[in-house]
Amino acid sequence: MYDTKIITANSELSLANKKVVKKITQGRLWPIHNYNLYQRYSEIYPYAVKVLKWIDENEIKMERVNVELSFSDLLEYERDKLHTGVTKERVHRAVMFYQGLQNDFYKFSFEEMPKTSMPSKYFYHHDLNLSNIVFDMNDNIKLIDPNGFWVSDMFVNRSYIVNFNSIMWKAHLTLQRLEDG
Amino acid sequence: MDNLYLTTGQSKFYLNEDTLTKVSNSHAWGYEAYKFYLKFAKTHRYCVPVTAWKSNYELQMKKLDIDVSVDDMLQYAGYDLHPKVTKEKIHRVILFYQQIQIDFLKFSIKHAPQGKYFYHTDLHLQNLVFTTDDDLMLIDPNSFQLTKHVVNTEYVSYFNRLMWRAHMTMERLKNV
Repeated sequence: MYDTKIITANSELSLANKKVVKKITQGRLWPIHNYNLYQRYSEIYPYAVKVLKWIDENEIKMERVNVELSFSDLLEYERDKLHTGVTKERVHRAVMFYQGLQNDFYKFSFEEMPKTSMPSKYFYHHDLNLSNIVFDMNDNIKLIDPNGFWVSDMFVNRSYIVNFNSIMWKAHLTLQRLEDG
Repeated sequence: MDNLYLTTGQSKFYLNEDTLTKVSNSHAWGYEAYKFYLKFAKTHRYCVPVTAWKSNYELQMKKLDIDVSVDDMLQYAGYDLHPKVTKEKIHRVILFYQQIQIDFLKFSIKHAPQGKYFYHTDLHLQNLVFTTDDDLMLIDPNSFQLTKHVVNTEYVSYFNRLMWRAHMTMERLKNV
């Protein structure tokens, strides 16, 4: 039984106690080869939210992550008051996590893609905005929005680079605010 | 007897067998930074081994047999690409460049004084080199400094440059 429905610009999310059904209503579909690669990725890197079932190109069922705060919340340095979940230690972890992500994408691409029929392609998350990375209630970092992962010809992950600059600036300014009390 | 081996804008290098002595004319490297460097280099073998700290302006290190710098390797705009450039090497460089920054931060959190960070403050692409043994090394050890800023501005700006140049070079490699 689903208790809540969230409608975003590109999808509808139906939330139950432990799972979420995501229907893609607009934008890129998620074919099964992306799902298969994603399953392998999330086995190796458990921070990637688990997809429980691929229903079709428009619809997936995934684990529900109980979010405490997103990286976007964590690094809202301009708020009147910083989010109560902000600590220096978390900012450090966020920066390290983000920098490690791109290495994980490449390592996965170099090691796993040659085993497929798309040996020289890359597999990574294409929507790394800071709302898609969250701290859950157990203080684990999770990467959400699994259908943001797809196979690409492009070596450079534009989303990573754009958001890399954003996270570095925001981390710096948030730490400064923490130091200023 | 040491022989003058190389002169750059800020330093002179003297060679004696396999030891290089670097004398800086402007860039002080304190004993504290040197001690942190030794600790960092002990667990991160990509750092050039520093064998002696003589003063704030003089240090000795092992001479590396450099095959090509990353800067030379990613000269995508020339008539020919560098003969040593390969897709595999570019992949290694990207992984390496990102990993070193993670290593700096992890090390700083564990070992640096409260509120300080220890990292290489001059991460331009000439300071990353492939040796003739195909090891990827980080040189210019006296650019490692204790700072109070989590953001390594050199890393951030050179990271963008690296990604652009890697992309452009990869595109050209596709057409070779």
